[in-house]
Amino acid sequence: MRYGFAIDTKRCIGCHTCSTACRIENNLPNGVWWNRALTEGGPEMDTPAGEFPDVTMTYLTVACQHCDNPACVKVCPVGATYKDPETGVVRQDYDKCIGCRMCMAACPYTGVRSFNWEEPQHTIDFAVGDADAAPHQKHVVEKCTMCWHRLAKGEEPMCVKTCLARARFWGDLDDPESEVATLVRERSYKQLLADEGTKPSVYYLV
Amino acid sequence: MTELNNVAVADDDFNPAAAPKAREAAGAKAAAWGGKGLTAAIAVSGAIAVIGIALWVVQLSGGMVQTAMRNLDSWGLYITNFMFFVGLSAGGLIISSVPKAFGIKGFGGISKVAVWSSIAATVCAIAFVVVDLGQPLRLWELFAYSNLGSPLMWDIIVLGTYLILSCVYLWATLQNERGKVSNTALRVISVVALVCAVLVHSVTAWIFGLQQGREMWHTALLAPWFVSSALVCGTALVAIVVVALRKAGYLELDQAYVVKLAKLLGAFVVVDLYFFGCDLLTEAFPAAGGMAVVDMLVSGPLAPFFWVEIIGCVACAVVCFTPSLRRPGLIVAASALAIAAIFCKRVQLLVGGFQLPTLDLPGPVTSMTVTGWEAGVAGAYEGMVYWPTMIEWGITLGVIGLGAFILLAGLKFLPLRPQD
Amino acid sequence: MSGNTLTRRSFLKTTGVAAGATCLGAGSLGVLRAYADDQDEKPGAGEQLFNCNCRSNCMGSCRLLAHVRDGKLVKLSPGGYEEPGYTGCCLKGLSYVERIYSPTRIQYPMRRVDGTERGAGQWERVTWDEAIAEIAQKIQETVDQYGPKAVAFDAASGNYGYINGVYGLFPRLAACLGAIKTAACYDYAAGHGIDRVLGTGDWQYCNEPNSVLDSSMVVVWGTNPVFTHPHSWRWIQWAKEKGTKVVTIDPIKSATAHRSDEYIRVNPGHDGYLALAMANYVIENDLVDDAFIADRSNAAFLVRQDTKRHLSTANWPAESAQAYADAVAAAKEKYAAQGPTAVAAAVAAIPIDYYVWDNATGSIVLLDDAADPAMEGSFATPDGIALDTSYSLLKDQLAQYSVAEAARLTGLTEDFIVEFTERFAAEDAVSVNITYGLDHYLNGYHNTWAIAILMALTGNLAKPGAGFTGVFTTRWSPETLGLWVTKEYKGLNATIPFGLMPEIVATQSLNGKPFPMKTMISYCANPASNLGGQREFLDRLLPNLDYYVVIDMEMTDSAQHADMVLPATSWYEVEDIRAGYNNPYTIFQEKAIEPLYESKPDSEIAYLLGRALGFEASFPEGDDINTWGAILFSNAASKAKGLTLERFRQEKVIQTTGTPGESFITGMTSPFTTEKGRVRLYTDNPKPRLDYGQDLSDRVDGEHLVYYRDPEECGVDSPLAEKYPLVYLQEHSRFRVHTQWGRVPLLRELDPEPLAKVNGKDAAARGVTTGDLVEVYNDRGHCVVKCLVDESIAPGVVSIPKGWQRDQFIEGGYQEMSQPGMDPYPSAASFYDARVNFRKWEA
Repeated sequence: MRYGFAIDTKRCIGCHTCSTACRIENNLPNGVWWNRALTEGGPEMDTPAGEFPDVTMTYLTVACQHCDNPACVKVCPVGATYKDPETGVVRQDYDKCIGCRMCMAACPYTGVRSFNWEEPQHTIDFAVGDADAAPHQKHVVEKCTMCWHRLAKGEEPMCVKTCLARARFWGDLDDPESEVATLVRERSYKQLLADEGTKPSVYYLV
Repeated sequence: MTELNNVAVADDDFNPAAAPKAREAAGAKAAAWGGKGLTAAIAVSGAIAVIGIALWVVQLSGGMVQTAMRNLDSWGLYITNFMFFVGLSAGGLIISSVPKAFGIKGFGGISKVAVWSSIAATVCAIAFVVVDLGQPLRLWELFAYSNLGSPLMWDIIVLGTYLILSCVYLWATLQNERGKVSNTALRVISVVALVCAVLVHSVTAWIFGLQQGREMWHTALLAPWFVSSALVCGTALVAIVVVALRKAGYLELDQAYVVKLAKLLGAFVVVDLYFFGCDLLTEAFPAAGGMAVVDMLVSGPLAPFFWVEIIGCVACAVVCFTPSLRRPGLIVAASALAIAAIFCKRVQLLVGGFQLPTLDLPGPVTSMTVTGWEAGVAGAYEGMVYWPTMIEWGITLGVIGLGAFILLAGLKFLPLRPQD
Repeated sequence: MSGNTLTRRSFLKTTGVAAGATCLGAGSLGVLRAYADDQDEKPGAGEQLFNCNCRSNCMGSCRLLAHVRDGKLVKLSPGGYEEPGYTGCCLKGLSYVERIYSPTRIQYPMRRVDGTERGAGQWERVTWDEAIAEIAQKIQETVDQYGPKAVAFDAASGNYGYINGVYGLFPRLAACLGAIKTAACYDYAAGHGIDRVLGTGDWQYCNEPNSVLDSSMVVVWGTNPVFTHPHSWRWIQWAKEKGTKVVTIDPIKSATAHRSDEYIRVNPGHDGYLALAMANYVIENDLVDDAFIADRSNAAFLVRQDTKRHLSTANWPAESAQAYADAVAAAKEKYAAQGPTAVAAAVAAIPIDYYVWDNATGSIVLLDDAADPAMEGSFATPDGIALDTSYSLLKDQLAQYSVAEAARLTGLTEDFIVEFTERFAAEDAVSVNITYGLDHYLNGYHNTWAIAILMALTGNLAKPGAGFTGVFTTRWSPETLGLWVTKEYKGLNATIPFGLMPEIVATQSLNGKPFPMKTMISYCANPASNLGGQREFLDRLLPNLDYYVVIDMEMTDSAQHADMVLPATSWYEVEDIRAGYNNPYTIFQEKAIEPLYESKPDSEIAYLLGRALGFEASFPEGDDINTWGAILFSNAASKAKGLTLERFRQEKVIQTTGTPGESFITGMTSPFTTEKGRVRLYTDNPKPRLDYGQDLSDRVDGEHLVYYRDPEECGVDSPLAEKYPLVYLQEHSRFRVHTQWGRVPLLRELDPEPLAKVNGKDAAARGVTTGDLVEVYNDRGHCVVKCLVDESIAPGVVSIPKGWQRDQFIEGGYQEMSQPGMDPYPSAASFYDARVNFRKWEA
């Protein structure tokens, strides 16, 4: 199995609902976003490229790309970051992480990995989201887990579930009948930093 | 020439006949050296080291959020200094072991001091990695769960080996002076040490150079370049140390050999500049993606560091190659410039790796994202994406204090002086 | 900060587009792809799920499941609807968790410390008993001294639950007192203009959102669903994937415009003229849908030249007129005791029939008796009353609206207007998404009225895929009036628009006559933030109001300026019922968690106050949702659908409008309630939305036929343009609904501060760029904000996203500069009809 995403950039409206769902589902600390809606256009969020009225703007939602050839897995000195052989999910073992941040230096997708620079702070004094989501530790690196705690229950990642534009598709890329595999086969797509050779498992349908 | 009679270097270290006399002299000289000044310096550096440790505890308990490092610029002053001190240590050892390995006369007397400075620098380098770790108590995992495919793991192994090897080398040198280790054995160890020194800095380079995600780092040239930079600052450090020690009366060294050091330094600087030039040309020529790196260095946020390095190196080379300028004072100044230049180079590399994001699309920015986050993504990259906070300076000083402590204590208590 | 110093390498590197087989959108997977796996979330270990829904004014009304662990709400997830296309939730709804447990939440009743200024932030805690006693006392004092109409209950759009929302139980208290319930003014212009044609009242003009799947073209006219109602946008996107053309008309290139097939840029405020010129072009070039005009419009209805009213059985011939007058008198007498609304309803129920000229017989007959009604022409009754057909009058009226002038006003070229009109008229079915934006001007209703006429002439009404979309409202209503009328009913005046309150309170008069107004209670409302021309509220209303109570969850601008603040419960702490809009369902809200701190539901607060004011009979102990539910579902409409509280408890969600699998089309699924069910090319009896005694005698004659009116301030010919060259829009963002969600921490991370969005040329001309502080100002006020150069904003426009509160600005507030004025017909807020300038701000 090789779980991956197909994200339809024609449907995505950059609304941050997926990011917010992830934030709450995983009880992320203040200031931490594992998934971000990035604007492909002007120099600031929600601004377009060009000069009015000839302007263009689309959105890319970016989280860990769960690469097939992940740069991070290669460099982690203690193997805290590893690719699950059964599912292809790139996982993070918080207990093993020594906080050296080598993975953050190696990952070409700047911003998908976050380090807990302090004791995780929350505005709410109890854990929100799923009770099975891994608790957070200070001074370790974290990133999108592909909602591993949900996969374990046979459910899809929260970002996919909550996308109000129905732009996110997820499933087994190795299964030719799956939705994602079909979309990747039938639609034009692009991938982020494709010539870095990391073989990301996220396909942006264009 | 009476001076020369008192100095062990007058006898080639490899002259067996001189050995017994030298041993006696070495034994006599093994007694502690240095007066109140050195003791005070040891105490001060020790105190600084202790303050550094205290600050490190503060960093760990209050969180590394107290540093300026954030998600988009996740390494900073500590790793910069790690690179720098690995360079210093590798360089020092190379200076020490090359003459032994190749039988070059004239440097034998300073080799123990050089090795000891190198050991002190290695300890600093390792300390910088440790203070940068989020979970230092999990250090043992590096040996329990080692991922042997990771360049960082290679570096841990090589650095560890190198530290041990440096100590062995020093011990072997001392034993050789006492006749307990043969010259051949010492020569072998010195070759191994030399190889290890080169390896250490190459592996350190590979931590950066093998990462395809960062334009500025991903070049095959990085390993040889790190070695040449190491040679520059290592040589410069040794030059400063020996001139200072000579002034203090710790050892005697003929100016000719200092001049030799200076010429070596000049040569290394030229090689380093050559490598820099190659890299700049390669980045600039296609006038494509690499131009961002060149612009960043030449006229962008890292320009001050770039120009200090270039000008410093050129000035240093000029002093080293101009006979009339090769006076001790100027040589020390030139060496200091070279060290500063190489430090600037480390800053360029470390900060430069983060200054050019691979994914520069604007998105949500929080206080955890990047150092200057209030200015938004674009604003954060306007100037240097990273500048250290006070606690980082404090801990850095503490580590340097530790290194100074080790160096000075060694000078006081260890038989590092050249044999008589 | 100048420009973008970042590398563009990432762009080069991402364009590794792999060619796949061409694909027509998601066609291969089915457009109406079910959300997720079409199943709701299952409860996790130790979790209980509750059926809930979002109740703000966001065009969503999504069903949500509340996940509760150990008595705490830990998560919200989208709850499925039978039609999975309606299932969804947005970042706001999901982050409501942070609103419930926010540290900024009001925890207990607070009184402004005596002697301190309103807004100074000096509060002292009081008990509920103290608070209720004090409020009751103040109300009673006001009633005793000035009469009950000096007390106003103010609600806007904060919560649409039937029990604890804007329709809730405070009007019952107001009715017992005989006090005023102010009428909200937000968004009414759109409906008012469309009502002139469709008779759909304030809110019932839209088709069901899924109807766009049957449209050949969707015109998003002056609104931005990608930001503000993404659940509607989802349907439009699916239509687009199926081949529907999507066009956005907007002064700025909104996020929606970016996703449309075509973007038409117009100057703000003149869309009405464009629609009128298009309508005229359609007529002059024989592009009219003649069948629609003949069969579905009142084209043939005769209009009396003397009274400007239709010739009808109510006024001709004499006997018929007399009979009608008698019937009206009888109705008034019979229903007088039940109040003016009942009287009006009874009068409206008296049947009237309308006359046309029958070409077949050459005489005036009733519509149903005509074999060949004349669409055009002038005629006369046998007794000499001169008549014209409605269609002739409309044609004459439209003749003055030229493409050339439309081009001048809007900035489009004449060729384009012609080409677009021809395309528009040739389309099979056009949906116009109209809510909201166009209406936010003093000529707002003129804009939508004109578009409605254009739709009628092109036959884009009352058929699949045609008509208006955007705020599809329930066609079923419970007995809300019943909730308000008890035996102690004294009177309920609900006709005073809130927008007039600053003037009324400042002058203590209305329409030139004394009108004491002393005490106000705001619930589900934040008028200090949301009323246009904020200084009116702060400088004219507040200082002249004796006592101000605000009931809310957060310290909004209004709460901060109150004398007494009462903590309200969140949506998840009560049971309630909400009829959705933009979906056809009504949802039961289960109580997921206990009220936090000392907060109380609005209904309970109303009851406490009611009893404290002596109305125990109307607010008896023991009343609860069972009592109120029984009332709500007691009307004929509810009985016809078999709706009861029990049934809602069981089924959680019931479709209360339309039919599953179909699309509700206004005028097709339900008939127009106009004269003979015909759309009005001529409006027989134009009435203001609210009758608060305003004198419209000099305007009535001009309100029968659609016409163009310049915007008050923002138009291209405005004399203010020289001093204030930029039109001031306040776009609605995806991060807030008005001021709700304004303090949610995680949303603040995404959207940290207010910004003045300006075009690069305007910024450069003033020597500012992104990140600089600017002062945006006009004669009404100012604010200081960070500037953002945004090339989706046209030159000549400034946009500060709506919903920031005063303490979130460096100085002033964005609402100071907006337009406070209203047209007395729709009494609708006209925020965008404003001009400003901006300059670099030095501290």
